[in-house]
Amino acid sequence: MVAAEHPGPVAADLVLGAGAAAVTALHRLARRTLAPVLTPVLRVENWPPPLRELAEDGQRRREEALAGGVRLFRRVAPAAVTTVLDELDLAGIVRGVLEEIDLPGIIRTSTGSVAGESVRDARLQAMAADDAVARWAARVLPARRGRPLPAGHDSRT
Amino acid sequence: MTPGPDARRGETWFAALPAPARARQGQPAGLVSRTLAAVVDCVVLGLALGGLYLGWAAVDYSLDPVRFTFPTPTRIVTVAVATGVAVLYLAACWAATGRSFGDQLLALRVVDHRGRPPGPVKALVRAVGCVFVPVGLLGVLAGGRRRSLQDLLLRTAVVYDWSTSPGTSDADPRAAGAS
Repeated sequence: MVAAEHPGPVAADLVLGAGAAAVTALHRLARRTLAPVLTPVLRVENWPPPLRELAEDGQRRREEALAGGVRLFRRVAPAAVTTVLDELDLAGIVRGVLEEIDLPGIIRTSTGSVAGESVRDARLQAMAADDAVARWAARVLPARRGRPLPAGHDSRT
Repeated sequence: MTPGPDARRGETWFAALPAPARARQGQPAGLVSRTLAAVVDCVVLGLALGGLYLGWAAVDYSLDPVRFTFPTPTRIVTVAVATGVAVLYLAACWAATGRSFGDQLLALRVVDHRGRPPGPVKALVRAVGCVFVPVGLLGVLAGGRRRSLQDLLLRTAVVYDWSTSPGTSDADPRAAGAS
């Protein structure tokens, strides 16, 4: 398959490039001009006491609201999950998924191929051992000296 | 009719075999393969005898649950039943497809001088010979054709056969002593 030729830029790309350059320039400008002003202002230790007390009160209310939210979640979530699970036909879903992916077929195929590999290796090793024993017998037994092995067998001595 | 060794060379299963297996398809099997097959058959027979014993115990229990005890057969009964089951198992397998479970696992097949599974009578005689004179297997070492004592007497052979088809073989008839 031949790859499609890479198209060149269009007019809209010029607008996009100019916009990106403008945003980058503004970001740099903001960092250089606003950061020296805003950083000391945003430090709490620099605030006057009334503002700091107000901030601490806000912090306390935020933490209470968060804790209340967590408590509510812990009370409601189990009931909600139980209700959802009761409504779900999990057995049907599992059955449908199994039918869709044919898991039994995959297991059959994979275990069969693994077993097939093992059996094949065992057979080949037994064949090699047959040859080794035959060579040994040909060397040891006087009646067999000089007789060839059957066709197709390794004739190394 | 049994296809000859060359008849299957172009078949898919044959092409998928490892090279050593292709080279030896239909050639006589050696001592190690045949001994391993015999060991596997012994395991199968042990399981079958165990099943028979449990079946016997179950029948005893169902007949008289109150006085049930596990059967204790005498030694002679045990030996007789084990021998009978072994002979029947081997004879039936060899006559039907030429291969027992052990033969199937080790890719072996028993064939007669025509390269076919032995007939019922020959299979029965061979099974009796193998069960009562297992040492006859050592005859495999004595000749280039790898024939046991039982093979010599009955003109049979055990060949490598990686095919999965029942009752057919690629055996070279010369392997079983045909002239």
